[in-house]
This record gives sequence, C-alpha cells and structure tokens, in this order.
Amino acid sequence: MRSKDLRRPQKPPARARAGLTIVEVIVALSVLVVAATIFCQTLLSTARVRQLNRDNALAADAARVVLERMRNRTFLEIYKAYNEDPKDDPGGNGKGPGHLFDVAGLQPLDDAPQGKVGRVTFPSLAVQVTVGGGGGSGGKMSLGGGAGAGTVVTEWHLREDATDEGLGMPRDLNGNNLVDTANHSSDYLVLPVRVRIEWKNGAGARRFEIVTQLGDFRVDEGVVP
Amino acid sequence: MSARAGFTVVEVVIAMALVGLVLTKLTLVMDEARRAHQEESISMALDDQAMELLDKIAFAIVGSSAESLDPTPMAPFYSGTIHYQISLGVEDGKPVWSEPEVIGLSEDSGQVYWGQNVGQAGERIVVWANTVSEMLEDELLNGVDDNGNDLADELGLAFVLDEKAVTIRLSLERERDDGHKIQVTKETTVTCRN
Repeated sequence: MRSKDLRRPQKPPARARAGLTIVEVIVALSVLVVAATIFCQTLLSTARVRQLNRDNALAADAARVVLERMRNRTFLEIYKAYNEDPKDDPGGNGKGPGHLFDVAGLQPLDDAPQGKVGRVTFPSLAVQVTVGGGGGSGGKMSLGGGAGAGTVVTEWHLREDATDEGLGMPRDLNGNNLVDTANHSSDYLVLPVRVRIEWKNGAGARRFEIVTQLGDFRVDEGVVP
Repeated sequence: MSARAGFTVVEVVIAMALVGLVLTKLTLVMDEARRAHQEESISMALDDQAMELLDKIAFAIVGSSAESLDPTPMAPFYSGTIHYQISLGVEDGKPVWSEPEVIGLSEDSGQVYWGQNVGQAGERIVVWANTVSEMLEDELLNGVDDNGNDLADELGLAFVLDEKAVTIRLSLERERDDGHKIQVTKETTVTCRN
C-alpha cells in the first residue's frame, strides 16, 4: 500500500488548484473600481478648485480695475458715467461706460442683462419724469413748466432714501446731515458703490462683489479747510 | 504531464504582447501627464510671479502723482519704462515728494527693475523679475497690433497712461524641459492717488 502511494503522482488538493473564487474576484474588482473612482474624483475636484480660484482672481481684479477707472474720473461725473441711464452720460447719450461690463475669461449667467457678467450699482431709484409737460401725477415728477401732456421719461436719481443695507443706505450723501428725497446726482460728497460680478462655471453660478464708498478728498487750491 | 505544463508558448507570447501594449500606453499616458503637470506647475508659478510683480508696480504707481509720471504715453503709444515720484506726506502744508524713481524693462536682459536716483549719486537699482517676455503675448515685431489691445509692437512690460490712470501689461515666460515656451500675461489699471 505504501509503495503504491509512492509510485503514483500526487495530485494537489482541489482547493490549492482552484485559484480565485468568483466572489474574491468580484470583491477585488469592486475595491479597485471604488479606489479608481475616488482617485478620479480627487483629480476632478482639484481641477475644479483650480479653475474656481482662477475665476475668483479674474473677478476680483476686474472689480478692482472698474473702481480704479471710476477714480480716474472727475468725482461728480462718476455717478452719471456709471449709472443705468445712458442719457445723462458725460459727453453725450451713451458715451459713458455704463453700469454693465464684460470680464474676459468669465462666462455670463443665462439670464445676465445684455449678456454681461459685471454690474455697478449705486443707491439710485428709477423715477418717471414728465418733461416739457404741464405737471405730473401718480408718483411722477414734473420737470418743465409748460402746459400740455409732455413726455414721460425714466431717470435714475441718486437718492439718500434708497434702501440698501449693503451700501449703508439710507444715509446722507451731500453732507447736510439730512436724509431727503431729492436727486443728489450733482452734489454728492460720498458715493456708495457696489461692483458685482456673476458668472457660471462647472460648479454652477458664482458671485464676487466689492462694496465701497468713494469720496472726493481733494481740496480746491486756495481754499483752506 | 499536462497538469505540470503551465503556459504554452502562444499563451506567453499573447500575454507578453498584451503587457507590452499596456506598458506602452501607460508610458505615453504617464509622459503626457508629467508634461501637463509640469506645464501647469510652471504656469501657476508664473501666474503668482506676474500677480506679485503687477501688485508691486501698481502699489508704487498708486502713491505717485500723475504730474510726476514720465513719459506719458496714451494708446496706441506705450512705454516700457515709467518715472514717478511718490508722496511721502505733508510738511508745512506742502506735499513732500520722494526721490525720482523708475520702473522699467531692460530689453537686453529681459529684467524688470526698480531704480532710485538712476545715474545720480545714491543710485539704487533692484531687479524685480527676470523672466519677462521680449514682446507681450501674441505680439510680433511687425508694426501692427497683433493681439488686439490697441498697441503695436509692445514689449513684455508696457505702460499706457489715460489721464491719472496707468494700465500695466506684463508677459512672463519660461521654457519647459522639452523647450516648449509657456507664457502668462496679466494686466491691471491703477489710478494715481496724489
């Protein structure tokens, strides 16, 4: 019996020849897929964060440049040049930069006004004004004393009574310590301004804004403060 | 005998061919990834350097007086150098101005330098960057505006004046290991406060 066993080639036990079971293979593949998915997601999120940072830097610089360009103007021209109303632009109708602007490299939101990413806002209100007519009514202001129907136009008035918590409104803008309902577009001493940039990227809608107050601190020559 | 045979020659050849194919593809992908990573790293480093340099220049000009700027090129003209004086404060009701300072591009070395009292006693010169492109990105020396910024043949550092505001344009470049050039261009505008 013993010698017979020695002569016959010994077969390895069935378990040792089996290799991997289907369950082991599935588990291994699952682990591999999960690991690969996590790795790809990490790569994607890194790329997304990088893009986000780049976009933020672009927006911040663009907003700062808009404010710098405002400072390059005569102080009392800033509101008229950058408000919503092109009619009061210094130099003529529509000659100013206006309240909307583009930023190269940023994609506007689908509902962006005129497809622009940037917007400048002041504490202003749209007011219906009757020009050349004989009086206004129903919340309309009247300019001009002649009789007749006149023409109703929309003007954007810089108002101390505008409500905008972000801009610190309402507040006195012309230094008379009063908050009134007059248009201060020609006599403001302080100009609250918001530069907002809204764009879209892979992560959805993004926003960046700067809120500041511009002031004219120059002293006219010969005037002792 | 069959149980001890292992793989046949055909199986081994097929397996080796597949392994070779996979390794070749993997090498190509890795190489591409390495190159992309290098490009991204260089690009980010140049980005940071350009932002820092622009901030430095902007900070110097913002404290100056528009009247002290020299030269005063308006688009389509530009200058690769700007001289200015910054306000140090007020004494006896009069503003006190610094010694004349200059920021410029040395065309020979591609260096951006800051200088004070240049050519006079007490001269100081500091190199702020040395990777500036010969020409601004996408601009060729051909007398026309190639990159659509209203300037023709502008150098890697260009100043343009608009009343009290100075627009600064800057292109930095560096070469990848394989000689491919990577360029980064930045632009900003500052208004003289004094």
